[in-house]
Amino acid sequence: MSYSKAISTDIAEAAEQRSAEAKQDLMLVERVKRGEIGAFNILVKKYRDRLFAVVYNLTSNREEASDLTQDAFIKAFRSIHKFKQKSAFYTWLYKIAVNTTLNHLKKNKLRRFFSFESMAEEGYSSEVLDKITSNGNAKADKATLLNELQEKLNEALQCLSIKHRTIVVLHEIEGLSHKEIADIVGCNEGTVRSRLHYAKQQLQSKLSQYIS
Amino acid sequence: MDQNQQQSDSKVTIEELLKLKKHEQPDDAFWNRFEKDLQRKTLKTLIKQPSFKEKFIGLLGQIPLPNRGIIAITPALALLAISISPISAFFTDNTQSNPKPALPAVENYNPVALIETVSTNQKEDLTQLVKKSEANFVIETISIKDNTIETEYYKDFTDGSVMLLTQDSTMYVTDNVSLTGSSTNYLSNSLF
Repeated sequence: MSYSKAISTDIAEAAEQRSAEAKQDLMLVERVKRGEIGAFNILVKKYRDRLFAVVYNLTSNREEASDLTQDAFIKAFRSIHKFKQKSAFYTWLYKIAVNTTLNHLKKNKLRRFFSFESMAEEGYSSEVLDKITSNGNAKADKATLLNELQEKLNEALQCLSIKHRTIVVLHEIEGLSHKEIADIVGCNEGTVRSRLHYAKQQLQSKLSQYIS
Repeated sequence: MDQNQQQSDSKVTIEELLKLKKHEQPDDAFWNRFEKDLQRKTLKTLIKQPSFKEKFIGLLGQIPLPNRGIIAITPALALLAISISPISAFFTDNTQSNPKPALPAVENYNPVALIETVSTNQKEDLTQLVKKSEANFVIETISIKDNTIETEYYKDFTDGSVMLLTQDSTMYVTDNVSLTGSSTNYLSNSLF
């Protein structure tokens, strides 16, 4: 199976799983609307990792990402009675998080500081590093290479415009479908595809030294 | 496997590189801090800010009786003067601020299982109870004296402070519970 086909299958499976989860979420949302604050806590625990990952990859700063993710949850809590169930809860939540982050990034265009999370040098990351080293692209040891790669990835992502970065993060990193992204960002699927294509071209040229 | 296949297998794609970002995850200490911060912020959103009217009435209560009338009328006259003068346009807020939506979670809050009933006159007793309990909890009724509910509340939520829920379903956070006379406190189940 080709890599792109495998990715498509992964995304389809993930979308199916999310649809099942969406039903459970609606029950929790109903409980929150009835005044059960503990039910909102369950939703927070369920989505905090994913939401943080989106915000973190958009900002490339863990402290900002932490604050913005919390803000997104609080906004969701405050306006949960406005959630009309036209979309899945997670789509609504992602939309709040993405909008909160984009507003923050627009306001703080000029003063940006980057920091990154640690990544275990095992499993998937190790595989990718093996490929890079076997292609003769690296002279340093794996840990140094991994740090360098993280930095370069962050830099490359930050070079993209906010709207292109959002699409890349939601599709390539979070694994959301084009349709889900279109719902979150508020554009059509064609726009999502074309932005994704353009963004990947930009990233490819920025990271060409690692891509054989 | 031919040479071309081997080459494509060892090729790193942009998608693979981006997938590396998925493996960047914070540690448990980060999530513990995150959870605490979020709880604190959520509690703050639940706190009712006293309205201007409430603050004004509160201040008025501290002023000796004969002076109250004058003090109450003065700002009213000042406001009237501003509203009828051309300068009033200067003070008019043109930005249409959206009113804050009511919090359904608070409005529809239903007190749940009663876990403890306490009678105390001392704040220290309450603090001990807070310390004994692992979770944050809600006090449903506070300081009943002559059928009047007395509450003292502060906007800041700090560790060891007490979450209060008055009979009119308004939530407050306090670290200073004023208990006089015979007071009854009911502790209901955990909020978080």
